Amino acid sequence: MPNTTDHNFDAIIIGGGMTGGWAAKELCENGLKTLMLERGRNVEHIKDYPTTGMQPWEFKHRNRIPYEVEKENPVISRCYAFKEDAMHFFVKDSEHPYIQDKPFDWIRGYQVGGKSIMWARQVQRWSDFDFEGPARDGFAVDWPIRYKDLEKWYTHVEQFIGVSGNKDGVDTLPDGDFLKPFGMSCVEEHFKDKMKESYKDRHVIYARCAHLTEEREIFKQQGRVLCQSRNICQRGCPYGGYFNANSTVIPWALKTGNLTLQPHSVVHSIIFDEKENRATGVRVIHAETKETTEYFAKIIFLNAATLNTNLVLLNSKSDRFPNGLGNENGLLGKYVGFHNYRAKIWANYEGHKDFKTEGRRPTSSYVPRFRNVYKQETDFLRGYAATFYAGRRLDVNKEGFGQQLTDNLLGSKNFGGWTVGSGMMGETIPKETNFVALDASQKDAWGIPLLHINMVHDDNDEKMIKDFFEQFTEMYQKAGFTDIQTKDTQQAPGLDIHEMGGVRMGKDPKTSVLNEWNQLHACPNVYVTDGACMTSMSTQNPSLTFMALTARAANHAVEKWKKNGK
Amino acid sequence: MKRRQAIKQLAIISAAAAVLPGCLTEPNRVAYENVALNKGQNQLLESFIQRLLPKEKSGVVTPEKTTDFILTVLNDCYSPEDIQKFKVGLSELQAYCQQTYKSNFEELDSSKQAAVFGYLTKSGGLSEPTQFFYDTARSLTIEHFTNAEFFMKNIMKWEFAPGYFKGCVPV
Repeated sequence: MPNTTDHNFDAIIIGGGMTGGWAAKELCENGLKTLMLERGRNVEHIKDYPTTGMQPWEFKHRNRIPYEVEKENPVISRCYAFKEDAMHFFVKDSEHPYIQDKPFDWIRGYQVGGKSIMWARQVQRWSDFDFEGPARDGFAVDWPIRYKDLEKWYTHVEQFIGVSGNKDGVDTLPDGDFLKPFGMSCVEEHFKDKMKESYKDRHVIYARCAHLTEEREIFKQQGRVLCQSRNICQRGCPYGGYFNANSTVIPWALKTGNLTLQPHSVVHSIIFDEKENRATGVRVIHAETKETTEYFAKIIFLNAATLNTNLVLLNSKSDRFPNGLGNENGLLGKYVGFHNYRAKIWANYEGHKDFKTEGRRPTSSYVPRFRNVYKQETDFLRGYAATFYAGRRLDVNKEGFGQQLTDNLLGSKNFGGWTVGSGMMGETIPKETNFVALDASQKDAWGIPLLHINMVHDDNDEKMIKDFFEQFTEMYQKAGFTDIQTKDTQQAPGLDIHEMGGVRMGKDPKTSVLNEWNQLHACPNVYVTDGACMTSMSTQNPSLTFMALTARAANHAVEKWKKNGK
Repeated sequence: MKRRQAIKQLAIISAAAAVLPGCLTEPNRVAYENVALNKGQNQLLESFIQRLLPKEKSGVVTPEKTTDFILTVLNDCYSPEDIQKFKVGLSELQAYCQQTYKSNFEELDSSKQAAVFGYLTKSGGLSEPTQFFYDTARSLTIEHFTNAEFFMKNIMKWEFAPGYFKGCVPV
């Protein structure tokens, strides 16, 4: 089975995606012989982006999904990025079943690079308004860390991946080390000015994104050049214009000579040795041959993506941990959460008719959370951030038939009015009743129990949607927008692709599963640094925080290693 | 300009990496197993599309014939119910031409063909399948035209890799 005949490593990383890639970079740079196990195939930067150079007219379905694919895979077909140009990077429902006790759209990418290939590349930092949330508002448990613990790691990650942004000086969204912004459209600037006039705390900023807009020595060393604003990032970028693990952290780790990258390796469980009182390795099933192998290491990083990380731990049963590795308090798999993406609003704008935009940009504008920030002020806990977009397009004249239609189309030269829109990104409250668990008897093709998913929106989420509609309608009116329309998409949790938690961090082993360094309280040589570690959900896109936590935890592991050799 | 050279080189690499035979159009594909039109229906569809949006002198060149595009998308991306509705609508159009002009659409002179479009365009009165056929054929034909390289580059001023964004320029 294995590419590698070596079964002993200093560290094993389970999962070859965004955070697994970051763990690999940090561990390998520091000299640890590391094995990265990825359940899917390898995806090599550039070489394995088959559609990246294709023009829109070269797709035979013009980017549609075939009917049979959609019918057999209703969940993944609801994902905005699952189209003809990138469908090969997404898991099909039919190939990897799970059990929806409550509707949950589980969006997955099983390959080296994981979902970092197709992610939306939004990278807003968290602040202490987020880390102090659970303690202040009395839900979940207190985070064991604060912003100051993560600050330098945010910078560390930003400097390596490249983040385009402005220094905005907004309390809720700390500034970082940014490359120059692509900029906002005139109507976005107009909205920003109007919000400044109308409210003291409602900011509209350029949304920070993981794209290269300036040259730096570190990017040159990575072989990446400037983003060309093609806006087809989900296909993989031949320029390395945005951050994915394939173009950046994984090749960086491979270059050290310390990384063994092994695809097609489905991790069944982590092996716990009672005599040594630590995890000693992992049990792996080959994705195709189904052959079982074991690999051993002193340190294990679990980065399988939130819900699969929960699954691996729940399935790692031993006499000491009959309910899953590190699960001494029964909390494993519980207190999962997500982002409430149900509320959308859009409108027209009759002003600024003499102006338009040109070119493209891989981001939009962003309204950081303004509800319940400094004190509790509504009948719901926490709040929401939102996207904000304003643009206009050429109005294609489709009137008539025959030569008249041809002439009308070719003669299109008038621009339509500006359209504006926002999507809510609401913080959800993790609860014991939102959980994942293993099925007692049903197994997948690799003999691994199927995962039950129980996540629902609650009253707090419903109140937040109502407030978002009220507040944004008022804000849009103040900006002079017209024909305002709102929609509750009623979409299930999961489609936000921000599922988090289940292996939460905390100060007390009785009420949490991980400590402040992302180690299992009960088995500290296992680190969990993907979305599963999150104690609360905040409003910001979480990937940047996952990466910063991973870099911090990996360096903690390295320090211990250098001191004690384990 | 080292940067430009680097970008050029990368563009070449990307172009080389982009060729994926399975995703490209098969120009000689004739069998659409889910649509399966007879010869008469094929001829009608072809001349109808041609008359709806003539592109000979437009400068617009498409990678495949418009009827092939429509049939490919119908065959692969539409539900069996919608394909059936499309076929019924096409047959109804065939019957309408026979009843009204005792002739096939493709054999009608230009003014009679225009009258057929007049019949299809008037609001209300069409059967659901005929309306569905017309709306679908029309929107796919326009999509095929406006998605072509010439149209996107010259009319939409679209660039594959613009490398810039200007948020506020005069119209």
